[in-house]
Amino acid sequence: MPEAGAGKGLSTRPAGWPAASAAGPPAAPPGGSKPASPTAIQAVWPAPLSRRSLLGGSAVLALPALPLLGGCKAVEPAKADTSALPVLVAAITAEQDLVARYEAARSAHADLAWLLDPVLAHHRSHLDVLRRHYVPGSGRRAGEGGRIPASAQVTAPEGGPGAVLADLRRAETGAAARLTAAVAKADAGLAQVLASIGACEAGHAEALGRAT
Amino acid sequence: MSEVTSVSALQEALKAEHAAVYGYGVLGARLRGAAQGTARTIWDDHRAQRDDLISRLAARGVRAVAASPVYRLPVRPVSGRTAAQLAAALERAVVTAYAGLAGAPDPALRTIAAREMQQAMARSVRWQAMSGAGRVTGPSSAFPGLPSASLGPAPEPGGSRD
Repeated sequence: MPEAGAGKGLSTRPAGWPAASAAGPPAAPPGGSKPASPTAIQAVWPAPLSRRSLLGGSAVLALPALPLLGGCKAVEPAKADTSALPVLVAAITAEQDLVARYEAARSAHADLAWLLDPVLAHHRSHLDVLRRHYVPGSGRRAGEGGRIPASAQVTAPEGGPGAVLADLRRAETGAAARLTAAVAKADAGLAQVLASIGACEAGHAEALGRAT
Repeated sequence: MSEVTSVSALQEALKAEHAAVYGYGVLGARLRGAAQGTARTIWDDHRAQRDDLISRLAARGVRAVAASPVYRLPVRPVSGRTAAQLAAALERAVVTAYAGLAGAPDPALRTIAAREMQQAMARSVRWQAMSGAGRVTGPSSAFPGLPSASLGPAPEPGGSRD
């Protein structure tokens, strides 16, 4: 880790950053409330996501009271909300495609393992988590209109490592862009997962661009 | 109820933007040339995003959380290298802060959050590379901004018994 600054409480702005030194401390935002006491030091690191913020995660789920078992025979099973299923299927399909692309690239260019292997591991993790959402222990989803297509056969593009990395970067960028739209159609918990995956893919794209 | 949730998520994102605005103001002084230009552009982006969040809170009749006069920074920027490390850390904090907003009831807010998370993650990787960290392969986690406990699906009624 770099020189740790935590706890040192930087309270002055170094000189030589013209706009900063001209402006002094960051201005209070327009419309904001009264600034805190000048002596206050607000720790911003780490900034963990509060449990309350995880709207759909299992960690904060409030389970409803279970019905009495005696009446089960007369009660039709509740129908699952399948409105977000196409979003989930699309995300799984996209991850399958990315995994296949990286596996093909890895086979063709072993010298790129230092870059491709960590990214491929991320995509396999994405796929694992998304599949857990697809089959959350309550039954099969294929009959609900959510059949997942088989993974496509992918071969690494010709043209050398540069062409391979450029192809992967385009794939990452496209996948991330589609997830930006997908979060609006997913439920809260899945939306957070999709947004995180999109951020990961945007980070991959940046790294691939630098390696090209 | 849902509005309260959106508001609190907006406030969390705003806190991270306040910290980023402060942090870039500090670290920019340690950079030179193109790196300083990059920092200035990103600084402007964070200020614009901060103002946008404040406007969205105001539209909901809520007073936005104010910036703190000073912030304890995770890296002390004493050189160009450590300034870049600080910028990378600030961007990772922004990713985490927007993850809550990505689960907001309002689909428009989710889309904004997803977009900001992507931009912040890309900037973080860029700064990591600029800090001379060697070969950079992307985010350190497969799920930036999310704790592992949140990755499981929430049980829901329905499905079949097999």
